[in-house]
Amino acid sequence: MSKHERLKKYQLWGLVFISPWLIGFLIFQLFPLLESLYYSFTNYNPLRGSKWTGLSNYIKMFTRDKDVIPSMAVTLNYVLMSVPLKLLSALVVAMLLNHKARGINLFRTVYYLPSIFGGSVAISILWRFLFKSDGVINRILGLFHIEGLNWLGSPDLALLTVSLVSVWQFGSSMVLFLAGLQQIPADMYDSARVDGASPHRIFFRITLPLLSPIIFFNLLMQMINAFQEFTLPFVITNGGPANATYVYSMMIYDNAFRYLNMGYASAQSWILFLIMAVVTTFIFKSSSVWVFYKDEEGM
Amino acid sequence: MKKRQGRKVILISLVLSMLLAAGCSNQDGEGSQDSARQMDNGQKETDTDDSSGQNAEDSGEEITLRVSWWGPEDRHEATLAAMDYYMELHPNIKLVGEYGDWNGHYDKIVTQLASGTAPDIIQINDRWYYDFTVGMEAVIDMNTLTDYVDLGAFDQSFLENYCSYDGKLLGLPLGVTGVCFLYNKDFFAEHNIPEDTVWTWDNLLEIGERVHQENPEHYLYVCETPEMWVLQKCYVKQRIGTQMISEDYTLNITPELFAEALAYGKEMVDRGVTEPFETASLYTDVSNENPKWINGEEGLQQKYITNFSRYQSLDLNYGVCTSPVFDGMLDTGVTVSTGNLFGINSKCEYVKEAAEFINWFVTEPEAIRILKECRSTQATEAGRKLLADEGLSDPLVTEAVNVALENASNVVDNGISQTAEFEKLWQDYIEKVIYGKMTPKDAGQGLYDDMLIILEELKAFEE
Repeated sequence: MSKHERLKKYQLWGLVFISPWLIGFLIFQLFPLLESLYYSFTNYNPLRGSKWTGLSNYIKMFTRDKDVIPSMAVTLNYVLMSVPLKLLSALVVAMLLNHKARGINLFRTVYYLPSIFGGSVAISILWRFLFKSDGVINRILGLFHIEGLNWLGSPDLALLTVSLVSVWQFGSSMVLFLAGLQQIPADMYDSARVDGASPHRIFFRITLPLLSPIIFFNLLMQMINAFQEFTLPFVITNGGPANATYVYSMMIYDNAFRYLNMGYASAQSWILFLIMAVVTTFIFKSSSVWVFYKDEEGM
Repeated sequence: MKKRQGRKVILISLVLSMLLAAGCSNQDGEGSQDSARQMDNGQKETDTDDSSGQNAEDSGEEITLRVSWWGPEDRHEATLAAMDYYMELHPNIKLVGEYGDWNGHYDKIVTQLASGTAPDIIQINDRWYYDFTVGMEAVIDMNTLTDYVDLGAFDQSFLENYCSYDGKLLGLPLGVTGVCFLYNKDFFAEHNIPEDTVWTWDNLLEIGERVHQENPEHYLYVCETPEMWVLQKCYVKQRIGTQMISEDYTLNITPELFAEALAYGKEMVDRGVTEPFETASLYTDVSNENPKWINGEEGLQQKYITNFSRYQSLDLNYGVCTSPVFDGMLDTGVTVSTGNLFGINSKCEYVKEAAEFINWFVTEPEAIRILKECRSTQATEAGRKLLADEGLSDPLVTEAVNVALENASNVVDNGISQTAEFEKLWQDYIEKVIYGKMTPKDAGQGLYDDMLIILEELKAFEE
């Protein structure tokens, strides 16, 4: 058997072993994906069937639906608020936990716990109670004679409050940062210190550049998640007040499940997908400027 | 050799796939057999019913019926207790309750209907009639099940006006309910508001403003967006005296009338009649949890009688009266409806058993004793009399239903006037006005224009 034939045989056996997943992917992911693309060109209502309507759903989105642009703006604000804050918190905590100290593993576990809970309904309800006008946060502020804020009822503050819940769940990014920090060779820090570099300089010239691949990965993942955020605003504020937290995913949900305009909701989903694809591509392209890999320059 | 290798790989792939499929569908397979069995049985029931009255129940076969509803805790407890009692009486019938809060219940039910996994017995709100009937048959027309249900136990006009759509009886009513004002007697006494005040749109503003001036922490009226919507609907219906949207998808509300209603809502907030939405919105749909209401700092709200139990668990002294009126109104605008219906999923396999259970649930004295007024007053005259005779009825609920019925609107909202899009859109514009993002005039025009677009789309479905 030639080398080529042997390779082909291995590939075929590989396909055999991944076939359960492959079939699952084709049936439960690719097929619904393509089906939603088809539905986006119809007025599909799950209870009443569908008619082909061409591009009308897409045209309606940008010409007649007054919710789309405000909802996109809310989502973008949410992404811009939650992602940088989350990454910054994760990095700061990861650096604090990147020390050898007694019980450090316990702290690492504790800080990771919120991420295990994920964007669950129970956590959202808990935060709702924390941030109510007579909730724990305002009571704590009261102890310091600071007047409480209307965290969830004010259209100006509600989105920030929802973002804070998301920021609190920085554990998964933190773990990746921690792993990245531990990969940075100690001798580089030693050399820098011997040369008289300040901590500030060490951070910006060594830590950050060597962490940039992790920052890049975390940025992409968190951004994609943030664009699709649903549970937190749905449970905590239900999109209010005055649609201040009415994120794009909630609008898709309303169209799909409240009004049963599944065709229109499919079109909205595809537009979200396109937006995310464009932003992801932009970040990928920009990475050649700011992401630094150790292998480059022979390190 | 290569060909044989290829075949071998394909063969193994197929075997693995079949194993996977078999693994996944094992239960389905059982389900399918089960379904087939049920269908056979259903067919047999029909056949044998006609001949000898034999059915699945008589044959001792175990039947499972899924029953769904929403509501407060006391409704869950009463419904589950009634179901338990029914299962004791019918050992071969297993009733499985699927219940929760009102929020999100509609989304869940329509998704289940669309995917063919909806429960056998569904509690239906009158706002859903349009969605459940136009272009589809979500539930069975109960008029076709008179062999199993006693329609004579109900007021026929009530069944026709409040439980039917397009001539189809979508379910049996679980109660008679409506909307009325619920007030705190102690609050009224504190602010010298006579309990027999006939509320008008003007004196609601005047007295509300006075109350807030007397005590800046106090507000007369409890209101957040959905409650404001119910109030504005009443305002509008009194002025048009007809359906908000006709059956031919014509919108009967002018942009000016929308603007007027929205301006009224804004004035309520600006004059301190109602608590600012910034804080009230935290208790949307659960104003019984609002500390101001609990502490007696707010005195009046418009409520569906079906929700009274949530408020009665608080230690407050309640009274009821009718909604605001004005001279020359064309209709009272006071909503009266069923305390929801129990309908049968059109895909239910055991229609007869489901119908018999529903009939028992709404007419049997023992069931009525267990359920009492967990869905407002009983739907049948006999049920109401039974509860009154045995001292099981709540005087406040009885009075509230009487108030609602005495002032009931002559216009029973049709399905198209109750579509979810109309509700959401109106509520969005209420918020835009209250939060100062739009003037009432612009919002009125915007609401009107957006509704025309929605109606055009809904009409397109029917054409």
